[in-house]
Amino acid sequence: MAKPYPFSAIVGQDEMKEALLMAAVEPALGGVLVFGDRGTGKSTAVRALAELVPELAGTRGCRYNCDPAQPAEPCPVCATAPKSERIKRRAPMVDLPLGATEDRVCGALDIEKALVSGERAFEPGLLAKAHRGFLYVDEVNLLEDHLVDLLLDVAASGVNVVEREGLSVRHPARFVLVGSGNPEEGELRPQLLDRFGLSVDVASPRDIASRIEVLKRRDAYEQDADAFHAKWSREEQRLAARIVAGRKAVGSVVLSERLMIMMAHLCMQLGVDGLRGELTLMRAARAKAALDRRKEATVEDVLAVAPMALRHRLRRDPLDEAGSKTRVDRAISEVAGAPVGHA
Amino acid sequence: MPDPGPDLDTDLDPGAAVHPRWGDALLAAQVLVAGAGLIGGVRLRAGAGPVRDRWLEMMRLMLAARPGPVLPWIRIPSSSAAGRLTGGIDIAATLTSGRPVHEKGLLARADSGFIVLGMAERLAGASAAIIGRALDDGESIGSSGTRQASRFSIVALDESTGEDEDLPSALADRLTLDLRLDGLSIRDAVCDPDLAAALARDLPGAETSAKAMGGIHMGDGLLEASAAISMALPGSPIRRALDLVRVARILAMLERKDSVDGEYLATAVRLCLGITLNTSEQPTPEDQPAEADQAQNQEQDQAEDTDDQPPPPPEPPRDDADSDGETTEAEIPEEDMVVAAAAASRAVLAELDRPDRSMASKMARTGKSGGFKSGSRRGRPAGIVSRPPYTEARPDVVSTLRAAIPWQRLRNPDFALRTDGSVPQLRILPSDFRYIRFRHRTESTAIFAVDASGSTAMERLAEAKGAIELLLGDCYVRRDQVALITFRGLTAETLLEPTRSLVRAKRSLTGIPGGGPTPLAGAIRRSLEIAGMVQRRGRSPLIVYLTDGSGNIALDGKPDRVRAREDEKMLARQGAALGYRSILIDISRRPRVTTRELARSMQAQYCPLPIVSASAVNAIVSAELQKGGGQ
Repeated sequence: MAKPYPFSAIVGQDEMKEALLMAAVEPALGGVLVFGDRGTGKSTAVRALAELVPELAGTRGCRYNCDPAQPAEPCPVCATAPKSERIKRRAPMVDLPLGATEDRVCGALDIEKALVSGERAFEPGLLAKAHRGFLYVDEVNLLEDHLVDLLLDVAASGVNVVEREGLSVRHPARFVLVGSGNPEEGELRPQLLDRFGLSVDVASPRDIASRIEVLKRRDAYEQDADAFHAKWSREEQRLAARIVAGRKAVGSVVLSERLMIMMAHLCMQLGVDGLRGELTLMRAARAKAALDRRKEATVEDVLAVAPMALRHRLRRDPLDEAGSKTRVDRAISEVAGAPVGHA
Repeated sequence: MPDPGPDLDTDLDPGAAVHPRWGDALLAAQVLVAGAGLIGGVRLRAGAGPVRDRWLEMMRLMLAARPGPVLPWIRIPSSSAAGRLTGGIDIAATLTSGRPVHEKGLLARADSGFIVLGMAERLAGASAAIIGRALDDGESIGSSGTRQASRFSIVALDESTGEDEDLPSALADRLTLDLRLDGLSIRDAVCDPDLAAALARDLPGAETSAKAMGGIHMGDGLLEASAAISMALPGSPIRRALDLVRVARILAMLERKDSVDGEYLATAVRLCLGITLNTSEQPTPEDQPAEADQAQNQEQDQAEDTDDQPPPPPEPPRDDADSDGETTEAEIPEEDMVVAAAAASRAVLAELDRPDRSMASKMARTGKSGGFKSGSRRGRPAGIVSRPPYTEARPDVVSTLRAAIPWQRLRNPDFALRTDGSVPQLRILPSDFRYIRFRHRTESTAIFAVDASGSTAMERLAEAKGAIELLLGDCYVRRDQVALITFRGLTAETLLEPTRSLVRAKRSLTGIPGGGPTPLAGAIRRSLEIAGMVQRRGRSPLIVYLTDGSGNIALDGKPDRVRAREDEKMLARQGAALGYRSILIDISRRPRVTTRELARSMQAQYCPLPIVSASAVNAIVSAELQKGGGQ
């Protein structure tokens, strides 16, 4: 496969890019949902993101993407022969295709082994492959219901449990769930909506200048991908370094009591159900501060991440004409005591 | 199309006169053959018939005549399962060889060649998404996770009639060329191996195409023009702009030029969007007067408007083919091109406002059709059982094998002893048989027909809108859809096609006019039409009329109360005979007997509701949906 289009060369779409970077810095954020028109660079951005994330330590031949420090129990390579060769591998970016079967997603009986040696072995599926990386579901709003349920379950628990065909397997599957879709083709189930940490809306650029820029860059990329990558490699390295630094720093970002109170007020003002809103808001503010190399999160951080952390959690009132974004903005300006533009 | 484009073919075969639209079609075929695997493909809008067959035949002939290796040409029916597209275990080969044999998916087999999608408008959403993904990535991922190079172009045979079907948007968005063969007569569709050979002779070899395209310069002005044109299209898809750039490059490559000029972009616009740019300032060295061109143009448009109209008369033979070749030599300043693009964007909009097009784009939806089979076998798989869930159920091969395989060692005691490579037979006992159980739930579509006539129209409409939005707000769980028809004046109008999207509903429900007479008969007819469409998609319709029942416009649009009543009765009985469920909500202040009779003749549930409120309507409809929904 040719190298994907570089992340930093994507024109505009700043909110989407920021959200993806934050998810890469803080996997506990719970993933990103990107909703918008076709051809707005959703898939391009997600694919490009995997190139920026630092490599992971792994074991040769391991099919569960185990962390060498915590090998998965069913993994025949890591669990039984701990002295295997250590390698570095790219953080996995796994595509969940719409037509995927349940077998393929969570794993099933290994037909190959069964046929050749009559052995009953488990063949890990996409969830195992995505462990410690990203699971990307394009057109997530068209995904079959039973697969959505399965994803929800695993994403929440971080463990994939398979009990079928006489197999009984459990292995870790912690991944950043990235979904994209076009809301005009169907809505997403509210339960799944809530499970995503951040949600961003994208639209195709409305001004001619940036469209031309998109066209020129895409054209240059198609004509000579290598040269294009060379041209952008500096920017890419800078971004990658930001992610690495952010990952290191995110745990130690200070969040003052005052900010916590403000977040709670914001969520109460908007009537967000449950505590997931506050938690996400907190993690997102930390990730944002870490990305910008600051030791303490500020009011600006919270206000910048609030729209993407909360807009999909509002209780939907079909008769309220105002979009969810305006409602979040309104609440922000009330809580912050001053009108705040949305970042 | 007339004017300056189709010179590429005519100058190769100066003796024959080629109909301009057929010339364009052949040019499109040339572009496809030269750009195999580099561009998304073509949306071929044509009914099944000899003209389409001839175009496909010409394309195959060109593929065969082109220098270099023969490119794959694989036909895929719209019903093919997603698994077949990406490949998986070949069960037959696996059983005979005793070790897993992976078969290449259809997409991988088409690498660097073509996929012909039959009845593409019936393609299921999942398959469309897989194909779209492969088009983007140039590879497909097999069921075992193997990556296979799959760089192909698509020939999507689109037979949709525009009424209630369209290509899944995941696919339509990625198809580069838009070719209409409707209205072309078989006499115009010249199919000749010599012509094909002549057209294909100069096409670059498979591997050189990509390289040759890279060397072709395209000025910033032209890039800007492409961006401007794509912005004028509905939804302003940026992929269209990229398509224009690619096709313009291929066109330049076909003529062995090293830079793209405005002429190529104009031709690209014609091939990709089906629109002729009106660049009247440009020099036209053709013998035909410009007026004739215009007339021809209009004729063409009309022919496209109505599909069944006889084709335009064959164009007078053009024996100035050589001078045609020079048309492209004439350089058009790029600034002019931008101006033309701006002018064109208006033409583009006008073109796209044509009812059949706008309908199609409104209906652009991922194909819900095609996924279901009739009878009790439909629905989504809900597990595997060892007892047949219904008579005539056939065992599921893969799950049966899965059940049988672990036992093979026991059943073939000599399994381990075989060292000569011979393969033991797989022993399957009846106890291994596994069946897929399907669970099916009829999904409903509520069709609201709202009376927008008279003085209380606005209030009533507002409440109907409220009810629709309330229904949509919680319809996800039930997977129900909602459509809205309003009737006033002389006709009934479909404001909202069946949708589940709250976003779309909100967008189309703003600013509905009210007032005027009551064409109730027309509204019933339109509701029945939509109900039929809904049923063809495998959903069950529920028609909800909100009216006071005093229709005064007959079916033919004449104000005649008596005739109107007869028409209404007739249609009501028709609906009852078709078995559509319906509710008639009587919103007049004082319920009348005639309205109740109308409800009876359509076997509708009759609910007088003198004071309309969104929540009351929602309650009635929700109850009815839940009653009939779960089957």
